[in-house]
Amino acid sequence: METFGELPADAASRDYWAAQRRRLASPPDGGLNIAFEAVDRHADGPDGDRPALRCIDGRGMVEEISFRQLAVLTNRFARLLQRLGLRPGDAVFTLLGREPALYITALGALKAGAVFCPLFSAYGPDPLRTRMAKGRCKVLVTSARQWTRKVAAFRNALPDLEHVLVVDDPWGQGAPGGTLDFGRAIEDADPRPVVPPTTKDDPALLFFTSGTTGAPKGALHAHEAVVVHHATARGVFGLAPGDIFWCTADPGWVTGTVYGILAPLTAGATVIADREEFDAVRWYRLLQEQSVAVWYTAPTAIRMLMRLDATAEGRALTDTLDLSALRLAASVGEPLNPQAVLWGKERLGKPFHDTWWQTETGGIMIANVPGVDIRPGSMGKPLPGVQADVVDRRPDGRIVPVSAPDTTGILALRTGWPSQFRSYIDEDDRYRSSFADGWYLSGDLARKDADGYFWFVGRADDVIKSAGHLIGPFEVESALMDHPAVAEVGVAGRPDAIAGEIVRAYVTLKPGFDADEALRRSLLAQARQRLGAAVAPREIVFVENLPKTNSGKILRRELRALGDGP
Amino acid sequence: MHPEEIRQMILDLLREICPDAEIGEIEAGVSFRDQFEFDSIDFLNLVLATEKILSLRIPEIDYPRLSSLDGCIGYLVPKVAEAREAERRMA
Repeated sequence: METFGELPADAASRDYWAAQRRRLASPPDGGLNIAFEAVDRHADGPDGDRPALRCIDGRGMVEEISFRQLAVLTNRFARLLQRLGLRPGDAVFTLLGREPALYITALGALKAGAVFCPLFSAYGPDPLRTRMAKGRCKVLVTSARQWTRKVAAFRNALPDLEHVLVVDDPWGQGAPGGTLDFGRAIEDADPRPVVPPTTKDDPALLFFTSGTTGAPKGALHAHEAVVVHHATARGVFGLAPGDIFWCTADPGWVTGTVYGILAPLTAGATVIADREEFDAVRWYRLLQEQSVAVWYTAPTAIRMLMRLDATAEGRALTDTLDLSALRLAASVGEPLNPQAVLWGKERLGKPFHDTWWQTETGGIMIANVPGVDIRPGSMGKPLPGVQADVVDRRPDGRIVPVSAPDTTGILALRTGWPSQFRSYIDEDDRYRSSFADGWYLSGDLARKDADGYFWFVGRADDVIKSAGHLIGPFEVESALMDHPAVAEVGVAGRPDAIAGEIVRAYVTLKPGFDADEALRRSLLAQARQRLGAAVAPREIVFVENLPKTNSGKILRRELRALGDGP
Repeated sequence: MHPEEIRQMILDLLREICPDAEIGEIEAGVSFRDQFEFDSIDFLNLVLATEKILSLRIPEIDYPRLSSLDGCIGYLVPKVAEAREAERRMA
């Protein structure tokens, strides 16, 4: 795989990344493997007995796994994959929560030279099937519950799927027919070290992300991305061996894998793996009980924590919290409002450091880094080695930075950073169209102030950000279109104080159907069954007509103006 | 309010928020989340709708107590009685 873009970053950036590359354990002229940098380099050194993972289950039980133990477990998984006939480049998917099997699978797959692809565990069958088919999933690791409820029914429609490994869950259903028991398979596997067969340009990570139109895009990253993982773990979070790091993102999204698993481990930090979903009281207690030093979370969660803290009962709890271990709090996923930044400073003792990056960038690109004054509401400044700018696309195709400060344009990055995505699988045109004139065009609109701080303005496309999840309107519309009552459907985000945006579907009906409560429920039920609660619309609005272009395309941006319908 | 009324109200709200779930087969002692697709935004919608219908405020710190049907009934029945008693005294 080659890095796209004929105009690579400037000499200073190249020197910077070369220096970061030398910080890794693998010799610069040899192979490169993310899992080796995340696990084995520490396992074999003085930090080998430090905990790599601190897994907290639903009952609050804590299980620690040291780097040395994780090295053996991932050796076993890598050798299991080899025994199952997996070849380098084959795809291993997970549909799991933050539990030991997730970390073993991700790192073991990378070690074996496989491509690791995490799926969001709240997805319904439709998004799962689309992604597993497109990513040519060969091995799936999941729970018995997820498998039986969501995936087993379409197994035969996935010609590439060869093996399903099922993790025993608290319900103890055992491995259903046609699947292997993950725990037993690991126990039986050979624990001897594996020499990863990869080099810097070999594919490593596959993340699906949503666009305005068409099916989700599969952004593929190479092992070289670990240069950025490690550089940002140190530079943005200041991580070092022994630090306790808690990233709250779901492993099904790029943040949950890159910063929930890989980057902190490359720095030798201990990762908190909390199996449970969000709960404000629990989260406050976890911060204290686990002595979290660096915390990476998202605006929706921060706003929920603020709500609790705004009540007398919440204040009684937060007033007595001891967060003296907390060194840095950071946020990602959507712009963080200035009030939240300042609330962190006042109530947690640390302001939130906002960061910006995307699935395609593979790692943090712009941030309020420690030691630089935070501008509340701003995403910060480009990291060393990252050449970001706000640009204009000229009619002749040239990309020109916007010269006047505080002027809105496209947020763009000069190509050539090590964690740049290497393709959208099977969609070369779509991939190429994200680049122009030596720049990667992010699809985000931003402005840059006179001091070089970047400010998020909005998306250039119609994707929806709800509770930190990026949702493609097309996928949601497709799940409603074949409902017998639906004539047309357009999906857009409705602003929401907590979630950022709420997914809302505007529907016109076929003749003979009444826009009543029963139909509303029927539409919601269909969408939720297929897409899962996190992606399905929360609101259905019945309308007479949808706004369209002359050529008949739905104008999603104008849907919001329809309000709550008639 | 009678426990049965609270029960009916919660079941009605669930039918509205997550019509995909088999509400008729709900297990009262098990959390909603462990039985059907029910995420944190769904939960927030349930709490906000409950507050509105019963005209009372549910402090965020009590949210975990509303995670199952039994939890809702056990929490809301005395809470409503308390609120009505306070209203009566005010009057």
